[in-house]
Amino acid sequence: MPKENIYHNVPPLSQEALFSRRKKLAKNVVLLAVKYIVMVALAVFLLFPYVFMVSKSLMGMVDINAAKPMLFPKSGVYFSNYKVFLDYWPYFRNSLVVVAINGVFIPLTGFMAAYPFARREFKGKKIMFAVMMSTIMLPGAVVMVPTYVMFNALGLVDNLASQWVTAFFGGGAMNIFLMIQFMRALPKDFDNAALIDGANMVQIFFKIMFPMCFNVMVFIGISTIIGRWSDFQGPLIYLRTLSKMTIAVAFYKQFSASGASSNFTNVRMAMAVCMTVLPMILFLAFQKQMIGGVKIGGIKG
Amino acid sequence: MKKILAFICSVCLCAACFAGCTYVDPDKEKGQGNQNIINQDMTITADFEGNIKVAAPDVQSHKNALNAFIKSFNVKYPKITFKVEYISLDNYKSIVTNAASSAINLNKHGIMYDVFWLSEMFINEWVLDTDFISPLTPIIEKDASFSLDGINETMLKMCTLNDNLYMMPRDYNQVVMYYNKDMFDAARVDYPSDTEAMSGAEFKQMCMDLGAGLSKSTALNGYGHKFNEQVRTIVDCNVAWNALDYPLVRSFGGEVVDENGEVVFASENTKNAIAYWKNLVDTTSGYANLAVDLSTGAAKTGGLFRMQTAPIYLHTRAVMSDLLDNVEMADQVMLAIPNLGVAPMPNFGGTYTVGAGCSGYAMYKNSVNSKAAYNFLKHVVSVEGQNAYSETGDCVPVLDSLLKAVNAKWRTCRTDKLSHDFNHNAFIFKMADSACSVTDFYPNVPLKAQSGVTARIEEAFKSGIGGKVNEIMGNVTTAANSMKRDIAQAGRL
Amino acid sequence: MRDSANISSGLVSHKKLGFKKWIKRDYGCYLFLLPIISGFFIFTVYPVVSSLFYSFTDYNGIYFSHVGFFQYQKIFSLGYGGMLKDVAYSFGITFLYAIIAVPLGMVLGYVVALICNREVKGVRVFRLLYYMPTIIPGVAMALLWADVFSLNGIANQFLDLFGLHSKFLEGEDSAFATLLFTSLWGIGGSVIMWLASLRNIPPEMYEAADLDGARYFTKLFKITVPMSTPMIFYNLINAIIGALQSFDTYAMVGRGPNDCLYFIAVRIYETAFGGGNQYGLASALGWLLFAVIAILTMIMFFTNKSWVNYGDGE
Repeated sequence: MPKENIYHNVPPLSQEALFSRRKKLAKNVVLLAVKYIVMVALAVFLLFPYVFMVSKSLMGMVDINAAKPMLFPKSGVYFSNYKVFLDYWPYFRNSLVVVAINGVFIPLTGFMAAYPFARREFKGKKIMFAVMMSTIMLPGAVVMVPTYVMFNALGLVDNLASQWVTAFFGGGAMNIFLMIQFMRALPKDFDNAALIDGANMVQIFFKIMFPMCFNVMVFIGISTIIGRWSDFQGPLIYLRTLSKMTIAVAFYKQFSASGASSNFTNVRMAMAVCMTVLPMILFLAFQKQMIGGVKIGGIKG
Repeated sequence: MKKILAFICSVCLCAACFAGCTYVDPDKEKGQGNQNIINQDMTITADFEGNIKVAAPDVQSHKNALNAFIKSFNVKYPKITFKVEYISLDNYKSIVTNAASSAINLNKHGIMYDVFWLSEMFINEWVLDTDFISPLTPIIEKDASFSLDGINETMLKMCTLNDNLYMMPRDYNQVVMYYNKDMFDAARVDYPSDTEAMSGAEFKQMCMDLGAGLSKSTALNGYGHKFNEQVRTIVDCNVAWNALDYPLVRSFGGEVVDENGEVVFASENTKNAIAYWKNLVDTTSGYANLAVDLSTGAAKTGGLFRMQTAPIYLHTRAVMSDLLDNVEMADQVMLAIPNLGVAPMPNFGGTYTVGAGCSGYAMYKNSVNSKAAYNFLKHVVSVEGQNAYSETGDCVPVLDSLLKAVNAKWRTCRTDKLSHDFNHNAFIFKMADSACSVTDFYPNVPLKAQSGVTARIEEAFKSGIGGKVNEIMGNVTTAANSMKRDIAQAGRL
Repeated sequence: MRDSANISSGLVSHKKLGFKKWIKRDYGCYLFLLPIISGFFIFTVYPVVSSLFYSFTDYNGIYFSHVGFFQYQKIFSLGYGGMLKDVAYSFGITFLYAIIAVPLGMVLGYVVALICNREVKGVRVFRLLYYMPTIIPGVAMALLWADVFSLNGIANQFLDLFGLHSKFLEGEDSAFATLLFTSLWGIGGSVIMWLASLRNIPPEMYEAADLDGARYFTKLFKITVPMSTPMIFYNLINAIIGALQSFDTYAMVGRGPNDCLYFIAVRIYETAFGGGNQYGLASALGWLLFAVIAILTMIMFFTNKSWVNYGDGE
């Protein structure tokens, strides 16, 4: 490799130097091209199922049941398949209710819980923190049965309330831990100044901490919404009559039912596409917070 | 401070332990019913006011049946209202059981449905295990105006346990062979006989002819596809279904459990039954396999027949209205079968056996609306009720008089879609001698092992058909050993 | 006023603080913590203890009639009476899935992150596209995969070009491999995570390595990988614990052909709610799963001390 040139005026390079520089440039360009090709190929690979889902949702009965399956509709494009959304609207409404309540109250109560851990000292803090973190390793399967018995006694089975009643009790240890990490990184000058000026805890909480933590709360809120939108085990256990079901379970019941209606694969696909619209929109609208939040959760772990 | 906290915690823990459970003496007799209800007078007048809570599966044919019964019931008793809950079929059993358990546990009997649909396979469990069905025999004995004489013996037997009638049968379902006349015409194959059951060899030959004929036919099905491009399967059915697999084993001379409770499933006869069906699955004629490979459990049966890409379908009368009507969803239409034919089930193995079952409605033993519920159950087996249900086309009635009558409703219904020579007799073909159901061997198997043993038969079929021919006996033996394990395990508890 | 401000900010801690003063100082904190404390007792303590109790009985939702160790005996005994073979299979197949799918996803995500690191333009768009498949609801993907991998579906048509045929999700031998294949679509999440961690590596180290004449793979294994390890361990164990409880395969394949994909969470669900109402047995199985996860967490705790960070003030 040629040594560093110590002259200010760079003398013209020799023939070999030019050649090796061009070779290096060419190598860089080729490397870049290869990188792009790989990335595009990967993108196609990952998005192919979704494209296939959309394409199949536009097919007609004839194409669905052709002996040779096809990638794109041949005999007609049927946007009318999406009319099935009107049939599924009650389930959408149920899902929206569940998701809205969870998405608002889980970040709020989680934030309320995280604040004392991050900013204050109180007796029993170490024990409570340890106990809270230890609930992470509790598998849902252990509490599934007694929770069901308890909800049954309270009349919450087959009731949409069973899906959002836990939102008021904090969103689970992982979310709270995330918020604690985030809050610890925030500068303390603001609340020290406020304390000196005589503000009490509640005022500090609302006027100072809340606006600063907005990004994290949005992240947790949107993750909760996306998670609860696709949540299928919880509603499967608690919701019985079809009219009370959320979208994920209603869809599952309909598509796995053995009967004439399960042969309408194209309509089912249209329904599936409708189901993905909300998470996609939320993600695209809030992508800054979403990707930022994944980073925080990952790195500080 | 810490001590106070610890004390509170331990008190909470102890309290938590005893919440929500009631201890019940395991030796209490089951199936005796609620004497208060049994001993009361069940007669009601035409202006009786009441409300009945009903549970039924969320399937269109069940909805049609229940609507037919309710409408005709309200003609007799206009002031009785109904609250119907349709429950998804997948967890229908567990939901009804849970409702019963909550009602008994919390002593709030309004939670539980007064009347609920059930199949005769549920009776054992719901009487001997979670005991919540009301026995009907003591009530009927006190009721002078009603007797069970008109009801067909075979069906009554299916609804009875330990000499007590637990459910009122509402229809009789025997497996038949539906076929698509247009496809038979296109393949130039003769229709199956109306009056005799084909043998196993004849059935296979018919399927081979269909395959060969359809592979040459360029006629179009209802969706505009040519048969030679579309037909890839001849017989559409899921053989791993207890209405098909157990009778198949029996028709080859095999049996699952003998009278002493010994498992005799691993026999040459069982192997022949599975080998016969595997042969159908593996053989191709033209472009089509003779039977669809559902050994892996894919349960979308009927789809191929409905899309007019398979000419034969093995199922019961309960799905007939599905086949005769267009199904629409979001502007997409699944067409009805234009020319439906039906023939008796073939005699695959030599000893003619057909799978049959019975479903009906039962009453909760602590029902708060017991009078109305009991009268509803009586209505289900009455002539008016049975005729009302027959209008939907899905009913093979339970009353002997209707079964025999040539012009009964169930033979003259759906003239819009059925030709006048539609062979209704196929649905009761040899039912007195050859009808069989898995409940036939249930008395020889302990209660808790019954569903396990039924599932093992299906497993044997699935693995036998999915694997190699010389492994069939091995698969059967594995299933038989699993059955022995189930029985031993159930006997221990 | 300043005095109480000092005390309430915790700068002065009196060990022997009296009861009244303690409440007066900390009542605000406890008020804020009320939701999760009450939630903890209602939704964690009571169910866990009840579940332990149920596991010693044959509770079926209405009543129980025997108390004893028989549920655990049933789970651990071989031969005619026992479930050990089935339970061990469930645990085994779940473990296998967790051990293979999670590291595979992480490694592939890492490779992808290396490829689309900051030097390439438009990486933001690609990052978005890679993350999108992870937010599609699992049930929708289940329908999609069931269709793509059906006996007459696209995948088999693709294989027909090579003269092959496979049963995919419906064959005992191929179901697991197909399941692993479908889990690949979730690598978007780990790609983003790795991209963020790669960004944290100070570029001076690379420049120093370049000066010393290091080639690409040397740089990769001596700088990039070791600098990312803090994240690897914690996320790996967390993801494996999550995968051990995976339930989403239930929508796609149910129990799998011949019960070959009968994951432990699905088994617990089916035991409790699948028709038999065996709450006692399901609770016992749940506690077994709890024990396994607790052991894993202990391992994580003891081998990576920096994870545990009690909420000390800073």
